[in-house]
Amino acid sequence: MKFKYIFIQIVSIGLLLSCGKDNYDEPQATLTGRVVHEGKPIGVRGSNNSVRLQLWQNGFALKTPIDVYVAQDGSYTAKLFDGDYQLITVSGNGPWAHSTDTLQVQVKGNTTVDINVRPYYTLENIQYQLNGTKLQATFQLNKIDETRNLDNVNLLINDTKFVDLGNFEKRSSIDGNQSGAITIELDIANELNTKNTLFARVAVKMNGITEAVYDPNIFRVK
Amino acid sequence: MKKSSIILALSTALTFSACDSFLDQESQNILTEQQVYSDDNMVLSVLANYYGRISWGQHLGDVASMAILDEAGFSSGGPNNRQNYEDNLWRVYDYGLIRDLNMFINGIKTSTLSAASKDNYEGEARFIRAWVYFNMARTLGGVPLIGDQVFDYSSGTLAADLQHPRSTEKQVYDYIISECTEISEKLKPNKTTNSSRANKWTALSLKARAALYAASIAKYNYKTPDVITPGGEVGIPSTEANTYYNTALETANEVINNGPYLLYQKNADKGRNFYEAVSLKGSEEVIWARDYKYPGQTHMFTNNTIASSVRGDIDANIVTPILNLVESFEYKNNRNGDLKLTANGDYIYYDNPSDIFADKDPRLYGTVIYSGADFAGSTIVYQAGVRYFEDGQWKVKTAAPGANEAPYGLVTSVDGPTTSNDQFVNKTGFNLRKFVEENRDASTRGRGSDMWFVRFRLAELYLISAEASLELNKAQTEVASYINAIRNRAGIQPLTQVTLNDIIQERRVELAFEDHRYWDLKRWRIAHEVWDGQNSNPKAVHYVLFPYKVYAPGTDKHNKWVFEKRVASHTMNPRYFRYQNYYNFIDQNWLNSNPKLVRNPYQ
Repeated sequence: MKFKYIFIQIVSIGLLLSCGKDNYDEPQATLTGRVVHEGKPIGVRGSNNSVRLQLWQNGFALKTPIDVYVAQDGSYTAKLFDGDYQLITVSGNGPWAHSTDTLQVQVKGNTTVDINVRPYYTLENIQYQLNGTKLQATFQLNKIDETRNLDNVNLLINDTKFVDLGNFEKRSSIDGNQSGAITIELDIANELNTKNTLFARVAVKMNGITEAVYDPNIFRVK
Repeated sequence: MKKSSIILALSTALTFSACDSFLDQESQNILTEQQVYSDDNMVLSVLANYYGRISWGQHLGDVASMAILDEAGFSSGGPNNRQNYEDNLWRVYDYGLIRDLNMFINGIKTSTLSAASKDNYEGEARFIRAWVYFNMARTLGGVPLIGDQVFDYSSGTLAADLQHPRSTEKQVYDYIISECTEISEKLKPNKTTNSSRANKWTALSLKARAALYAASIAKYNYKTPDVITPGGEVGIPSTEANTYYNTALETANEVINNGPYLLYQKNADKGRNFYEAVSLKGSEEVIWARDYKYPGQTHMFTNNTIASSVRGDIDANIVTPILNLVESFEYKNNRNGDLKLTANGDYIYYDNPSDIFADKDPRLYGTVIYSGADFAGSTIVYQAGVRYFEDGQWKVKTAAPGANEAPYGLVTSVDGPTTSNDQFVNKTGFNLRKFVEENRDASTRGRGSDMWFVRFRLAELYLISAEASLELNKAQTEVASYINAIRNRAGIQPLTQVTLNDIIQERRVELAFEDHRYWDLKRWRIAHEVWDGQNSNPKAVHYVLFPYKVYAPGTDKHNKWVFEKRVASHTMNPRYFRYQNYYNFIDQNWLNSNPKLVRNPYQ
């Protein structure tokens, strides 16, 4: 009986111990940063692994990029080993023009690097206002790149903090090409009654690109 | 001492001498190429292997492939949370198979068989190769074209000599078209058993389809100006469109006019006729099919899609059609196929469950099982629950499938639909009929079904002619004559004016579940509009139909049927096709081993 327990103990110690060779430390360094244009972050769709950057590292025989997903406030985070990396945008993926420039990133401990991009449009001075049951957003829409036309300008609301063109309760859109001062309204009487929380965000969708430019901040309606 | 050295000398001599045939004898278990290629049965077994390796996209071996578009949804178990299409969905890059085929094509030339049969075998292998390239081109765009070369590695071979860059998308389609033209001269024109082997007409059908794909990409890729690579690996210049449309039209007409195939019209019951046209082996309309044969070659498609009340095993309803497809079938005299559910703010009360489908395009019967339709001799009635009047308002009662409750009687049909997460229970209110075998044993796990999967049939050629002649601005009478051949056979009103939207609509209903929808929306460059991932877009959201029996004794509504259109409970997200889905991503492993490849857009 006793031998049996000793035997079980020895076996379980043997199982729980392991040789050191196959154990690597997990990556310790954190690379954080934002996707910016003239110092201001660009809002994107944060759900569904939609917008990504890529990290590459030279010096290995086979290459596999590390996909780094951008959050809806334009920030990104990656856990990495210390080393030299190259950070690039992915052609046609984000709402910005693809640039063949590579950003050299040296990661040592916790590192912060902003990546500069040239978005097709930017949003400025975004103001939200709730008048009764009407939600109104006003903002300045600037066309940065002449090659893209607009599909539409949208005001979205959702009952979670993730507000984007894939996740919304209700939206109002203005179709067609425009720029300058924009005012867009959305009647949310029904949602105000039925939902416990409501968040709003502005999105600008251009032609030929899956992703849209968003307000990097969300506005809490309720 | 002396004796031992003699023994040593003798044994050494014995060791090094050998009977001269020992090392030269023929192997009993390895066949030489010469032996294989000079025996008809051997050649056929090699070809059979190739024929068995070329099912991609939607096909019967992969029931899930039917549920990810807008024709059907997943119905068994918990909800499906697919959000978008993978970057490698249905991707084909099979140079292992191309190498095998090239070995065969080179080897068969050394055969001692008669020139006629050598030609036919070579034509079959080259047809399969063209089909593989076609499948690669529609998923990846331009891929490396390597002709008849068979690559071998020996020491000293430079890796760079084995690496080939991608050809342009146009070059690949041109190659497929020119190969099919040559092959059609080599192959015999006779029909083959169950249309399972390629003949002259199969090659011409592939040529017509490839030309149509190339033409519509050339014409419509202006709509996706970013889906392009600088080297033309992806995208075809718009100036080429008319040439391709001409090729498609001429080739399709040659098959229609000179081929031995006929639109199937043997059954006077139009709905039944359409089922038989596609799902009855030996249908005189089918040009090429992946055939199956029990025992040995079977699949689980019937087992996975059968309705509960007629199943032969525990499995059923894993994939079931959705209301979107059902509503896209027109009425015989009304081009809007939306079901009439409500009037004046109230439900419409129907006497019989099938009344709501009266005067629908008979092809609906041949494609899906709807409430009140028969399958294999029994009538299938879907009933989600009972609607009853109590305390001045209408209420709904549902229960487990097949449960009775007084005073209502049957509450929920054994065939569903329900919104539960139960396995093998219907969630959409329809079942598949196309490609589902009526033989009950075919739905058992032990046997499986040997229903064929149709790859080319004459109806598609008519639709190719219609589309190509429309795009070439031919007279409307000519365009209409092609599409009306299909519509007359189906049993619905003919058209006088045809637009591209009519072609899109006709292909959706005629060719549902036959591996066309996804590729069609891609080549017209409308997939990103139809499946835009928006909850507000009724084309991207899956809908289901819930029939309820009315319990209101003493009123004229008692025992009548009402129908409710609902968002599918088990397809959680709207269909979302992104620009990057127009072409699959080039795998990083391929890039690592072949740096001459260029990436696809958005990658």
